[in-house]
Amino acid sequence: MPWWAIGMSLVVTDIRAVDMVGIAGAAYLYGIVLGNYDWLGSVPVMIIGAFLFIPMFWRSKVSTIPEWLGARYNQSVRTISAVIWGVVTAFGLGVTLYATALMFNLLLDLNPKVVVVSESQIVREKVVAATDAGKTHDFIFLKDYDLIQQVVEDKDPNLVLIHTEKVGNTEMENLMYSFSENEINAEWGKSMMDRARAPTWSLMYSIIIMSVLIGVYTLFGGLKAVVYTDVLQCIVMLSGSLFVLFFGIYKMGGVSEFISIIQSLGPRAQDHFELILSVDTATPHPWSGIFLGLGLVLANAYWFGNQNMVQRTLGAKSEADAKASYIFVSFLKILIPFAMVIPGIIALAHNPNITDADKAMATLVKDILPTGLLSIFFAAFLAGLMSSVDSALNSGATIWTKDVYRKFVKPDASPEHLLVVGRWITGAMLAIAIFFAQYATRFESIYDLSQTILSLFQSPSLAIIVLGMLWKRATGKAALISLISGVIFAGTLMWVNSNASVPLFQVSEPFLYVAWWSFVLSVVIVVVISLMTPPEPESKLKGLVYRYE
Amino acid sequence: MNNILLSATAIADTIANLFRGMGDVMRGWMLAIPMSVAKGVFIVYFLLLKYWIIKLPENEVTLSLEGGKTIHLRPYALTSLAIIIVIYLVF
Repeated sequence: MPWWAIGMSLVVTDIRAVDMVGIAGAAYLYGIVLGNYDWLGSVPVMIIGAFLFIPMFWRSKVSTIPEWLGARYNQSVRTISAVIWGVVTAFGLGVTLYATALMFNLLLDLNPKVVVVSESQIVREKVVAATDAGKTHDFIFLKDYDLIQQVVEDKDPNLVLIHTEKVGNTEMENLMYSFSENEINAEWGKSMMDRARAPTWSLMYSIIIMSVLIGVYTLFGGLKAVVYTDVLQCIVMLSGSLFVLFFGIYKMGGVSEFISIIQSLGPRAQDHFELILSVDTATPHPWSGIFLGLGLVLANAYWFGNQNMVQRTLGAKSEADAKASYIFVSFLKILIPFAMVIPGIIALAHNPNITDADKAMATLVKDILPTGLLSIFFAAFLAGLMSSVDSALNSGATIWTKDVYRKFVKPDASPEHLLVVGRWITGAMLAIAIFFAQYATRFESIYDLSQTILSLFQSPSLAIIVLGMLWKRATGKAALISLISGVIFAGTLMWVNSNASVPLFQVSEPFLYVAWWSFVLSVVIVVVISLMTPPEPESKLKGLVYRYE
Repeated sequence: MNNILLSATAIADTIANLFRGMGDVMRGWMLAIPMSVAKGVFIVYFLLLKYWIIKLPENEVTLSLEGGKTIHLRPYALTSLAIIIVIYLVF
């Protein structure tokens, strides 16, 4: 495959439906700081990967990262790494499917509706929190009671909640309930949602339909088919997203008008145009976490420790194509925050009252784009969805088939047999993903959830890849202990943070710091134990350690 | 059930307390760094990468694609990083 096809495939695989929903949603809340995930988290890392890591993988002629770890260290490291990545891929798919279904429901107006009538912004926010339905329902806020009849006729809401100050002597109709501010609590919210008319379309229906459609599509296409489909999807997705950017700014009245609208929102948006935020920021993105956790650990782990990404370059025509594809991506990734992050901020300028940030992008495109152009965005969104899901399924199935099934179950399996097994594994991964998708609603931002999952496993994996490639003294025993203890340590930090009386980290989603500290611990363990164990034979290391031929 | 939750909190608190002192000290150091210096850290990182790319041997940055065409990757990598430096200077 040529460099430009691999490059475009990498971009469209990276910009998943999760990103179209999650990054714009996080940008709605926190601003341009999300641009760091591409400008720091991709561009420099792609360049390091192009000249250092990718050529090493390519020359070793492996098909998976666990296979490389097996060659560099031992088969135990390979197996554990394969199982970890297989599981992470299935969970990541769950988040992707959830994000996709969320966007799908919103764009097609499938979510059940709850109407809240109140003049008070605080009361409206309390109602959304108490009902715990911000992710699954669309909330329509009215200040004026007289508009209820019209909204009921147009939107067919499942529930109408009216603040007592607005009720007066009006007669309550079916599914209309009055409330006072004092009675708003979780119990009241639950009882109200219990009384609501059951939704005709559940988020899970969308998740299952998406899974079946994409599962079938993926089952009949190999890596090559995936890459060439991605090229077209990349063009559609980038042009669709950039169109939203330009059209959105045009609708705001131009760049200066857009900036002044954001500035007029006061303290909640005062840092929305700051790339670097203070250590004590209320967001999950302090500069220290961004630089250490993202720039030095998670970004590197993602771009050259993640099978999803590296698998593309392993299929390159030549080492030159593999390297050039990463440099090409470093250019394309400069554009991504303009296509994904800035539209999230435009959504804030357009409507500062969206109850669920993950709905920001969908709300924006639905409100500002004419119907014809909305279909272009929908095509762009489906392109991103298909690419990210088929890539994850493809790489997950490759790992399970080659690093687990062929190694432990049937070492002499024919390619035809492995193809059949790969299809069964694809189906099983989709089933796990569907199961996990229903729990994704618990996180405030989908993007934070996906990063949290990755931060548990990526840092220890990165530590053993980097040291294995750059330090010939690193040994198999050290890598194995480091991998296991790094994952346990990261999980422990997450658990302690959410269970201690006072959270360990003073940041809302500490995945960046967890990634950094588990990486540091993993590096220390590899170094200390390697020095205590006999070195690997030199013949084994040739071609697997940087500049050691 | 309540007992289990209480013991989980007690265990979590004990582990958290082991790290908290060290964490607070490091957080204090980080907080003392002015934002302009923090931005400088990012820029220096990009500049160091540029220096590394300039120093890479020619055979690692100039390669032949299939079909015989030669590709020089160094100028593209340097340009990409230069754009990023400008972005970090602007925002």
